[in-house]
Amino acid sequence: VPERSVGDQVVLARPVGGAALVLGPTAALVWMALADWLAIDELETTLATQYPNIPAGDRHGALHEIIQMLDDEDLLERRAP
Amino acid sequence: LSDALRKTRLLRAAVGLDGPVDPTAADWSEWVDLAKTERVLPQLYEVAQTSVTDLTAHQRAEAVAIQLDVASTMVRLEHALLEVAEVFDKGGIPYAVLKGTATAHLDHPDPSLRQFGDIDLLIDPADLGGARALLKSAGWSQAYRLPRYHEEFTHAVTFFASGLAELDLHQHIAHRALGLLVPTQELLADREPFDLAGRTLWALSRPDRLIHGAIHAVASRGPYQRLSSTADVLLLSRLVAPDAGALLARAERWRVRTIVERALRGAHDAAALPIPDAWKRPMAGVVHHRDRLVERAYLSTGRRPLTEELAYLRLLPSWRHRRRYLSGYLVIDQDPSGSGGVNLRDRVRYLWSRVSRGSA
Repeated sequence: VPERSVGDQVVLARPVGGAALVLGPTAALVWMALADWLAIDELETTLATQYPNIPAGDRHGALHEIIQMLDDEDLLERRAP
Repeated sequence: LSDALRKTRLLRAAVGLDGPVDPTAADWSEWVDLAKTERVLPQLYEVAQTSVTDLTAHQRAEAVAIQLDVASTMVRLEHALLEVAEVFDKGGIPYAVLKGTATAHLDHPDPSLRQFGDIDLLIDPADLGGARALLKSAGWSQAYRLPRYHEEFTHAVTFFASGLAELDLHQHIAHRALGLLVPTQELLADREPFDLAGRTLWALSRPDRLIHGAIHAVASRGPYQRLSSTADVLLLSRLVAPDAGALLARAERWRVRTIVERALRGAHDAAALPIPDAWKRPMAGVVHHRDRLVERAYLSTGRRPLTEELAYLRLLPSWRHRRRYLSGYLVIDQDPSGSGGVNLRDRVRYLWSRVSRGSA
């Protein structure tokens, strides 16, 4: 989908209709990592590197919320491992 | 602080340069108003992020919010562009993406640095009917009706879609005589690909993007004369500099070299920058192949709509074309509202707008 970076945020066009979706810094980080086809455990590592002071449980919860949101917006593409 | 100095700053930002002034907390709103009007909000965002000034945290946050708003509009327009590109690809209509959408992806280091307000596509005039049918089937509708007989002469037809996207479908890259001087088929033959969201789209070649940008910068008037076009000329002139001689030769073959040179000088003057050395020598050469009536129409001080019309009429391929073009002004169509009345007032208003102010 078309996208733009604004500082540490990313703006995407939703696949249906094209309305904009603004991703905050953490979601933007996940989005950019997903472009490299990182698996969930690799995403966890990426977030741990970026936010070492956040408890692991909170990071895990945030990651799954972001993945769920991207999935709800039909922005995820899956491929077999 | 004058708007001229602010424009200089914003133009310089488009090529990664500083000076001569920066926004302050006291005049921030003037900068925002100017950048909005001139469609260079990304440059203001860059300036606000990098300048060491007394801008408040609120003002810097406003710059981010504005840039997010611009980015939201850009991705929405590009979403619409992808749909149109798919329709044209399937329908076998060759096209070239023009202006901001193309330069954003091909010339700026980051597409976020180029703001644009609509989608501009160039197609072969022979494909206009087919392209219109495809657009209508995809949910686009023509924004306004053209005078009878004028469709083959207009340089662009505007379409709207439900998502508030505007698409200008160009048969020529400029209006009237300038459009006839630059052959559309030649531009399409030299187009280059670019990637947008994983799909291959097509744009003019980089030299042709500069020629188009230059013509647009010189020929546009009033609200259509924006700093974003001048910034394109400034940026592209640097990128094309190694091939400056070849570009000017191509422009001279099309008899628009003086227009291109005027735009180059104007952009560098506005940015308070010297013409790059790579351009100085080729620009010093004598221009042999030129159209003096076109130059008089577009390079004289002040707008000369009647001269523009004369220059255009002279370049039309035959008397039959000239007669049909002029008929478009004189023929009275039925009222498009369906009331059956004669739309004489609108026709007179249209004719007056052409000879008094001209179009974009």
